[in-house]
Amino acid sequence: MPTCHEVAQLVASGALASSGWRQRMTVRLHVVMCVHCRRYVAQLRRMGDAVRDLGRGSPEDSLSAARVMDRLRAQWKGGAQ
Amino acid sequence: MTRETAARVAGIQRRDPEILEEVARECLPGLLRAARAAGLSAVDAEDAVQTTFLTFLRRAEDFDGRSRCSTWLYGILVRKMSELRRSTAREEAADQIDEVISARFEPDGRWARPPASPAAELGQEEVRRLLGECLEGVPDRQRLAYTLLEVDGLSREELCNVLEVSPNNLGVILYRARNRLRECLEARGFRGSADADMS
Repeated sequence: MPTCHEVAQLVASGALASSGWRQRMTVRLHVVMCVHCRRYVAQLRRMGDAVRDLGRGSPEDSLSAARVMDRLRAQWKGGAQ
Repeated sequence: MTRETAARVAGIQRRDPEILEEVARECLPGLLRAARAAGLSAVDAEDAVQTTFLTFLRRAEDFDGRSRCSTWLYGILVRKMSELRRSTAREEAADQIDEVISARFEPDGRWARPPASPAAELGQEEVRRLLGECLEGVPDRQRLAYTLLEVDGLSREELCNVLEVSPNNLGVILYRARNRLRECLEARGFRGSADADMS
């Protein structure tokens, strides 16, 4: 069974995703039984959700993309090679 | 999708304006977000992304479709932001956050200072604000890797190619990014929910 520190390392580094089923299983078991690790994993997940939500973009981001698009169109219509 | 269709590859290689427009429309938001995540101002990000596209165009005939063109574009962008490349060598070096994380655990690997227990949940707007603040405190390269993974959905393999790092090195970058962000958010009252499944 991995320790809490090892669970945190495997989860936060993303190494768990590419590890074998046996390791994934022992980590899962640990997390089921350990309230602190469960909380840690939940916080990382919630953080990821929040970053995605934040990254969906603001009106300024759309304007920024539109400006670059206009400049690019001018370039490839002008036959940029 | 990890590969491009033959029609799209051919269109890119002959610089078909319609295909280029389609690629640009798909990739611009992510590229701009990545440039901003890497610490560029809005104006510099627009310039860097434009230059990235022009480089992509110049080398269009070399594009073989074995990876997504977005991955190719992210790679060009990251190489353009040379200050990020210069920091590559420092990635293995000590980072203050390592000590902060270690202090959270006992020598036997159990939590010494476990994550704070759930209190009143913060509203979505509040979380967005705190996250914006805390992201600023994450070093550029860590923020870029974390954003490309979580927001743009790059695979670990794609991330290693784009950032030109080994899988182990990527693990170190993500571990530091996530923990630094979590520590900052926790200190500001973010708790997340108490339960998680590992699916």
